Amino acid sequence: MQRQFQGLLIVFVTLIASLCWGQALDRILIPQLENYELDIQSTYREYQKIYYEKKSSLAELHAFEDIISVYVSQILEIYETLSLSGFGDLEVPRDIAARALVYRALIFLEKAPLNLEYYEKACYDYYRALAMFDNVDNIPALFKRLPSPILVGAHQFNRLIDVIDHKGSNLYAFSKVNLNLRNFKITTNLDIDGIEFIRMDCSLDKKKYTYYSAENRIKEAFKNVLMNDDQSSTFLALPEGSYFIRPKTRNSSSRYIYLSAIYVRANQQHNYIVEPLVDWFIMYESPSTKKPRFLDSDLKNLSDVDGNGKHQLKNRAFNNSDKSLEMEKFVALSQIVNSALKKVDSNLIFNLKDPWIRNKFSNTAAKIIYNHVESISYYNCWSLWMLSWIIAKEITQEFSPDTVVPTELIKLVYHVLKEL
Amino acid sequence: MKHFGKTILSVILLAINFNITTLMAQEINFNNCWKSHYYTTLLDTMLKVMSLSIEANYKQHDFIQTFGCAYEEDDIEQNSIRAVYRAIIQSIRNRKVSLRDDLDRILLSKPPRPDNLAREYSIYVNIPASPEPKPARYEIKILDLEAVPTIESDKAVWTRIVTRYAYKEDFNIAPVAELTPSEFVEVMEESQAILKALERKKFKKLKKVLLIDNESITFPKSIEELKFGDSITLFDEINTEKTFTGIYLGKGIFTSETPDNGIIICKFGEERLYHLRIDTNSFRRTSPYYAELDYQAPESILQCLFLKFCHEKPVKLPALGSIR
Repeated sequence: MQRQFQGLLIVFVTLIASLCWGQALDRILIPQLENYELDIQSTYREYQKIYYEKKSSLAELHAFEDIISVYVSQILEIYETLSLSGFGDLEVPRDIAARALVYRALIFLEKAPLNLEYYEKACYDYYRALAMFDNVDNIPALFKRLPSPILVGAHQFNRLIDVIDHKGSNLYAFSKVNLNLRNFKITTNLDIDGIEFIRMDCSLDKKKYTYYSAENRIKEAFKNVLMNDDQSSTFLALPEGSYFIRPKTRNSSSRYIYLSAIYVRANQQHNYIVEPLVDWFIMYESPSTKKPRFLDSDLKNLSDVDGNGKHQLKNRAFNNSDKSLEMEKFVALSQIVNSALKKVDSNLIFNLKDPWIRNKFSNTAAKIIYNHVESISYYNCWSLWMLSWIIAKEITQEFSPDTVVPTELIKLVYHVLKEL
Repeated sequence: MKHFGKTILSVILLAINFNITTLMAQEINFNNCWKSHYYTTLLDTMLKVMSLSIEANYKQHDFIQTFGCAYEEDDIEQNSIRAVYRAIIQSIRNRKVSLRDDLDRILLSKPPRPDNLAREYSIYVNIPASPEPKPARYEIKILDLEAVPTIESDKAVWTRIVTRYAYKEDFNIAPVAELTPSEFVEVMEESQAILKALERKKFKKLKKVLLIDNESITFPKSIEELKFGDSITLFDEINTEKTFTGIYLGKGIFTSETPDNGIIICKFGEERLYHLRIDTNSFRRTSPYYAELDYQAPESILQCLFLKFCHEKPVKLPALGSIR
C-alpha cells in the first residue's frame, strides 16, 4: 500500500514538475521570441532606409544582415528547444520562427539586384519557413495577420504573403527540390569530392539566377548518408531548368548523367529519392499527384483503368455526356464547399448571412475551384496552401473586388482541396 | 626457385585477367542487355545446377532438395543469406508447413557464407493439425553454396540445400511434400522474358504476361510498396481524362505508353517530359508472385534498359500550357 502511494506520489510530482517546467518555458521563452521578432522588424525597417538612401554603403548593409542573422538564429534555437522539450502547442513559436526566416528572406531580396546570389539565399530561408508547416494542418504563418503591420517602401502590409506577392516574384523563379538519400552503405564506392552539379543550357533570362549552394549541399548529404549508413536528406533551391550530377572523371556526353538528372519547373516542390544503382546512383521523383475525386464513381472506376490514351469517362457504365458529368461534378463540389463552410468562421469571409448571397458565394467558389482543379495548374502548384491562396484571390476578385483576401477564405479553399 | 617464379607469373596473369574481366564486365552492352562476353546469366547457372539430383543417401532419409539464389545485394554474405533463405522457404512451401522460428534472425546470427563452415541449421516449423498445429524440428543441410559472377551481379550466389523433419513421427503425420526445386527461378525465367521483350519495346506482350488487364489483387498505397510488374496509371496533364498504362520495373524505373513518343523506359519524374503525370491513387497489382517471392529486377539490367533509350528523351520539361 505504502509502495503504491510512493509510486503515485512520484508520478504526481513528475507531472507537476513537468507542468511547471512547461509554464516556465512558456513564461520566459515566448516573450523572448516576441521581443526578437520586434527587433527583426525594426532592423528590417532600418535596413530599407539605408538601402534606399545610401546604396553605396555595402559594409553597413552587411552589418545589418549580420544582426538580423543573429536574431534569426536565436529564434530558431529557442524554437528547437521548445519542440525538443515536448512543449505543448507549438503554433506561436513556429509562427514567429517562420516569420523571422521570411523577414531575412525579404532583406536578401532587397539586396539581390546588386548581388544576384542573394535571390538564391532568400529562397533557402523562404523554403525553410514554408517547410515548418509541411506536416501540420495549421494555416502557415505567411497567410496569417502579422502582430503589427509592416512597412515596405510606401506600402503597409498586414500579411507576409501580401509582401511576398508585392516584392518576391523572383522567389517564384526558383523551385524547391527535396533530396532523400537512402539505402547507401558505408562501403558504397562513391567519390563524393569528385562529383559536380551542372545545369544544362537554359534561356538567358533564367541565367541570372544562381545555384551556388546546391553542389555543397548535395556533397554534404552524401557524406552524411555514407557516414551514418542510413538515410540523409537535404533540399536545394534551383532556378527552372534541367540539372545533373556527374563524376569529374566522366565526360558530360556519358549516358550516366541521365540517371542523376533533375527536371525543375519554376515555383514548384519536387521530392527526389536518391538510391545506389550498380556502380553509380539514380535520382527519381517521388510522385505525389492525385487526380481529384469529385464523385464516388471516380473511386469505383479506379479498378478498371483502361490505358492506351483512351477517354476513361467515355467508357463508363453510365452513359452521361461530358456536360452532364461536368454538372454532376460541379454539384458535388458545391456540396463540399458548403460542408467546408461549417469548418471555418464564415462570418469572417464576406457578409454571407443572407441565404441567397451565401448560395451565390458557394457557387462562385465552386466554379473557380473547379476551373483550377481541372486545369494544368492544379498539378503544378507549390502546395495546397499556395493553390488555396491563388484561388482565394480569384474568388475575392470575383465576389468582392478590391477587398483584402480573407484568411478564413484561404482556409475554406484549403479544406475543399483536401477533400478532393 | 623455378617453381616459385612460375607461381608468381601465374598470379600476375590471373590478376591482370581478373582486372580486365572486371573492367570489361562493367561496360554495358547496349545492343543486348542480357549478353556479355565474360559472364552468363544467373538463370542459366541455376538451370544447370538444378539438374543435379539429390544424393541417394539423403533421399533414403526423407530429405528433399531445393535451390536458392540471390543477386540483389552488393555483398556476397548478404546474397548468401538471401539465397539460403529462399531455398529454405521453398522447402517449407513444398512441405505445406509454416515457419515457427524467425528464420531471418537465425541466418543473420550464423550467416552462411561460401567460405565458412556454417552448413547446418535446425529450426522449428508448424505442421498443420487439428485442433492446433504441431511443432516439429526441421533439419537443414547446405550442400552447395557458391558465389558466381553473372550478368545480374558479380556477387551473385546460388545454393543447394536438403531438408527433412528431425523425427520420423513428424514426417509420418505431415502432408506429402512437393518436389518443386525453386519457384523463384521460375519467376526469374518469366521476368527475364519480360525484360527481354521490353528491350524490344514489346509492350503488348508485357501487358499480356503480367495480366495487366485482369482484376487487381492488391492496391499498393505508395511507391515504397510497388514491386516489379505492378501497374500504374498515367494521365495527360492537359487532357486529364486521357490515361495511359505504365508498368513498374524497380528502383524508380518504369515503362509506359506515351501520347506521341511510343513506349518509353524512364524514371519517376521523367513522365513530365511528355506532359504526363502519375496518379498515385491508381497503383494496382495483378501478378502477385513477384511480391510474394520478393523478386527484384537485376539492377544491372534496369540500368542498361534505362540508359539504352535515354538519349531519345527530351532534355527539359515542356513549358506549362504548351501545345503539342
